[in-house]
Amino acid sequence: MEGCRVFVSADIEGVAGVVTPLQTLDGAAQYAEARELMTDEVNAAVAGAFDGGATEVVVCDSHGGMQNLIPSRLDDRAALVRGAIRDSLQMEAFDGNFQAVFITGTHARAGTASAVLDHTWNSATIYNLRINGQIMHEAGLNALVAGWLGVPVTLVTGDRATIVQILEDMPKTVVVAVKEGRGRALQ
Amino acid sequence: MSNPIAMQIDYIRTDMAQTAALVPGVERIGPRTVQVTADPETMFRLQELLVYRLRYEL
Repeated sequence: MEGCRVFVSADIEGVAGVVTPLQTLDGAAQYAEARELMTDEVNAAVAGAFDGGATEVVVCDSHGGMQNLIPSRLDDRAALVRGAIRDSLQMEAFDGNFQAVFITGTHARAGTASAVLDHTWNSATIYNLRINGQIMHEAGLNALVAGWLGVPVTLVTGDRATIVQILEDMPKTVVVAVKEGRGRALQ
Repeated sequence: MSNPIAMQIDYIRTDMAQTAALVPGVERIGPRTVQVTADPETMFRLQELLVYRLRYEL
């Protein structure tokens, strides 16, 4: 195999310090702060990938309008997928030519207690989403596509409730709980 | 997971399920629930369509 390509899908609700929609909506009062926090966490993941032997890292901005990561602050070794009107949500630009997928800043599925900003895709439209009868979280939906194309999800970060769900469904994944939810808008 | 896979979406409102069921292959199986069966990659693209691209206007 020539080189090691890592795909990073980056959401925002599961970033340490992000607790309220005031931080997650473009134009909201605290959005600028959350963008910085998100970019810094992604930079840590990118650095880890390169330190671990990656030769190429593609970062997919995967929240809201998909323009949250601050390009000037992002590790310049990474390529950035930015912008919406996509075909493939949080896995845009992903194909089978990667060796690993990282999912950062993700959150628990809709209806999870003590989980920061729990939802599934869009809390204004979706109450639950099931695959073969199992209620899914977004990381699992991303992992389904990655696995279908033969690529493992090797890292997931988010709050503790998210990590509990990840370990139930994807026990071989390396996980990092970056915060502990005390309520839907409280860490 | 087996292929093809079955996805069910419970929407917040009934009109959303009614609208989603206009898409060929998407079946309304409950007042606010639709179901569709496809391979994982097609299913992911259908999520893009059924969650974000359709207009739910009420």
